Amino acid sequence: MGVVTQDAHTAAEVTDAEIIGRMHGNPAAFEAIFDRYYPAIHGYASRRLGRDLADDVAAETFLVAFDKWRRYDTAQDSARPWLYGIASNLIAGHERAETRRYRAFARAERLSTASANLDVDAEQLAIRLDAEAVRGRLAAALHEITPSEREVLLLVAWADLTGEEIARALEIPAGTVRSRLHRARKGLQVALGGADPTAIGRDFE
Amino acid sequence: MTDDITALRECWHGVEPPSPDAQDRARAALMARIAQADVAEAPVREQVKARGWRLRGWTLRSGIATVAAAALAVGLVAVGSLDKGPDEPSGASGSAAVTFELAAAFAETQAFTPPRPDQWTYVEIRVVNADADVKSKGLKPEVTTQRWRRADGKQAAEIVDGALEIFDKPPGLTRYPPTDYPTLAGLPTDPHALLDWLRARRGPFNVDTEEQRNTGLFSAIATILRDNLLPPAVMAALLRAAALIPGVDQAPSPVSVDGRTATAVGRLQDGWRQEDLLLDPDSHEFIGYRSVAAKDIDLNTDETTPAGSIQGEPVRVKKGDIQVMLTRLAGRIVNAAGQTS
Repeated sequence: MGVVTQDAHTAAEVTDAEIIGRMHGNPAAFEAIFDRYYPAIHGYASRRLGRDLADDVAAETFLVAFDKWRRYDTAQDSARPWLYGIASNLIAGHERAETRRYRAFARAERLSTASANLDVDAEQLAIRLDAEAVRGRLAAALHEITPSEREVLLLVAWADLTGEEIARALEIPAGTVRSRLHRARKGLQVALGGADPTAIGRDFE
Repeated sequence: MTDDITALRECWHGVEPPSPDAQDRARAALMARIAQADVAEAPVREQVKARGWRLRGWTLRSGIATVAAAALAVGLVAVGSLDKGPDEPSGASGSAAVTFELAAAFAETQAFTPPRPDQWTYVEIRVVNADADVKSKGLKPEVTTQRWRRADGKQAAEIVDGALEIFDKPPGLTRYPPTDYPTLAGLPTDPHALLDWLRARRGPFNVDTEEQRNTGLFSAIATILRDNLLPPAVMAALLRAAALIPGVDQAPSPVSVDGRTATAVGRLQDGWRQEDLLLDPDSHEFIGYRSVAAKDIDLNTDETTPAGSIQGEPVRVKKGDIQVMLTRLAGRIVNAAGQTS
């Protein structure tokens, strides 16, 4: 058996668009896209749906992406927004599981507040409760806002996409991204009990 | 409190990474999909070539040749199996067709638990080389090879000079014929689709004539069968696909391999050597492979070899000389490279 040496060009210097461009002669080149983004896509899905469903969604994301690779716009160097767009669509199919999850976080916060007097270390408890309280309130707000607002908000917060990238990922106008994000953040700030008006839209104007 | 986006990030920052198992399963699913997609594309690419073959067979030849070709095709259809169209090249017929089918039936009824992505396939083979190759290429007369391949396709291992060596497989690299388990497990289990898959992938060799294409197809199938551990459905499909290649037949009498007898089914390749799959005469289990010279030939000058004329010392082969004899000693799933059971 011949010894196969590592290709010098497999590293990060090759853009996603170049890899996808090579798929015409070698569809298996797509494995490199999987290697680059599977952990990130899984992490995003895991935050929204939990680890078990994330296993399914992340795997399916790359199957769908592979099925549609010919429609990938190779003028875009990075496949990141495109993959997050696919993952978002798949996550949307699990809306009930997602909102159940936020409800559970919100409930956990109320329960831990109720049982606070059982704990001994008051100072530590206060810190923990503060963090849990914030998470509980955020979760309650994520439960309240509409799915399309939540989708945009979480692509900013957890996928680190810009407004322009989200517009491309979800195939919606940039203005729609901005207005959904604005509404989502208003909802969250109300839940957090105070608004920092300068924060609104800061990343996207 | 900082802004809401930062709060969202901080409250959910400690997400668990995907388990290696989940990632391996996702990768295996993707590689299987890639292999399947290749198959789906193959007929489109193959259509032109398939039509080309028919044109050569039915239209381009003129006069007596056309009549002869038509008569031959009709004759083959009459003798061959019933599910072939009149314009499809004929493969095995008679006892050879039955033998291939019995071998496929044996293969597909074997119990098999697919390997986990972190497990390895282990294949041990004994190869007896031809006297001519031993002299001209310095090959050892007999060698036993032990090979491991990680089921997720990422690594391979073999014994080199007595020591285990593990090689990484670069992502995206595909070999022909395939050797990585995800690709092999994703091969079509319909024999016609499998032939299309192989035809779509043949390398720069064997493309000049129909005979060279068929030689390449049979060689690819023989190589996949002898070098790899395969899921039963894929193994059965390979045997059935081999039976569809024009020119395959069965040796009139059993052949002797390692002191036992075997049923040989195969074809005359490149016009000078008979390549056979060796089967247990009773169970029809695949047990090995051989290549035997079918005529006296000088491999360095004879034009029937794909390489064409080559300068250098003549490499004379006599009719009946065994070129290579290969027997499978083991094929199983193990937990780590280097393990044999």
